Amino acid sequence: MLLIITYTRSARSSLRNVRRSHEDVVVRWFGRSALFEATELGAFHGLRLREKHPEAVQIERTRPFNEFMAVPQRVRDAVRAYSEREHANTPYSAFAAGTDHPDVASMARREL
Amino acid sequence: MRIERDGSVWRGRAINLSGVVPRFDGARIVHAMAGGKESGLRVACGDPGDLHEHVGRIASGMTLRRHTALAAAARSRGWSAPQDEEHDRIQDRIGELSVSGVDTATARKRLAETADELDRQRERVARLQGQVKALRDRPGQQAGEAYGALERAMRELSELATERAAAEQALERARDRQRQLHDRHDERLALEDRAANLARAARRHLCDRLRNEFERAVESVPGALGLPDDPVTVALAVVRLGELSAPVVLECDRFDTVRAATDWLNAPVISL
Repeated sequence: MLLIITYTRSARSSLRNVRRSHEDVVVRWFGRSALFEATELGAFHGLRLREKHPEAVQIERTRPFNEFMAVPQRVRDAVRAYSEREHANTPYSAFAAGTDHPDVASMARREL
Repeated sequence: MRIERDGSVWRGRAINLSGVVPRFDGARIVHAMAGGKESGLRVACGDPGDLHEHVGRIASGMTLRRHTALAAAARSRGWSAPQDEEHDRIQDRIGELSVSGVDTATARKRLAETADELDRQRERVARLQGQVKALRDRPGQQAGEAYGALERAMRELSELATERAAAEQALERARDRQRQLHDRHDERLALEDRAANLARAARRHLCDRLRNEFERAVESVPGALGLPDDPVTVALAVVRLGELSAPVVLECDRFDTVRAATDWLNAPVISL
């Protein structure tokens, strides 16, 4: 889908107008941003917004997220283990110390 | 005030133009008052100000943002609201936040073009490789020229690959700058929302302060009986409550004479 983010009041209200008059291309709406259908029509409305507000509209293309394809097993294991920790207020960095679970810094470094 | 049209001049605090031929256009008079150019028409009067934008021309069928107008009437009296100080401070900060633009379109376009060229060149190299291979399989054919073309094509391919990598990096850098710009935009948007909330609260405060006076004024508007919510009624009451030095252009028949209108509204009046 196309993620449309607006950064000024006028761009935000233009986005609101698109949502009102072209409901069919707007998959979801979050106030000042929205997901448009990844169709030519979705792109058309996204680009129209950017044409009108060149510096205040960001358009990104989203991809479906499949953690079983994109995320290594060790990260998923760490998630499960951390959610089952004994003390609810143990921060992850303390939880991971001295275990095989990846530490915060190395996860931050590795791109998906 | 003084109105001049095609050599004719009208003066005074109350001017009746209703019988004048050709007829005057209220919108053009207001435009001329605000300093706009109107051929053959000149209006000299006091500064219109904010309130005049809302009630400078009162005509049946008009629309009126009544709370904004009423708050403007309060302001015209020199009143202020407790939110003003913070509102001004936020406006100053908004003014200081520079959000100069970052153009990433050029970088995106360049990347798309080099990617296209790279694809075309790859196909070309593959085709030439096929030709060279075919010539090699048939001894006795002259393959030298085809080899040369292949070599050149491969060199171009590697140049294009380098160019594409450079384009990718340039786009990456532009996106980083744009992200910083978006952070500032975010900050400004939050400030603008806060300023808008304060302005709304200030308007509410001013309207509340004027409420009783406003209700009495609405009741006393000539011809208001049965039309207390009519924009003309409300606009007339707002003018009476506020202070205007620029004339109100009246295109409604609520007053018997223009003098009566001037007295009741306590403002200069042009009646059409």
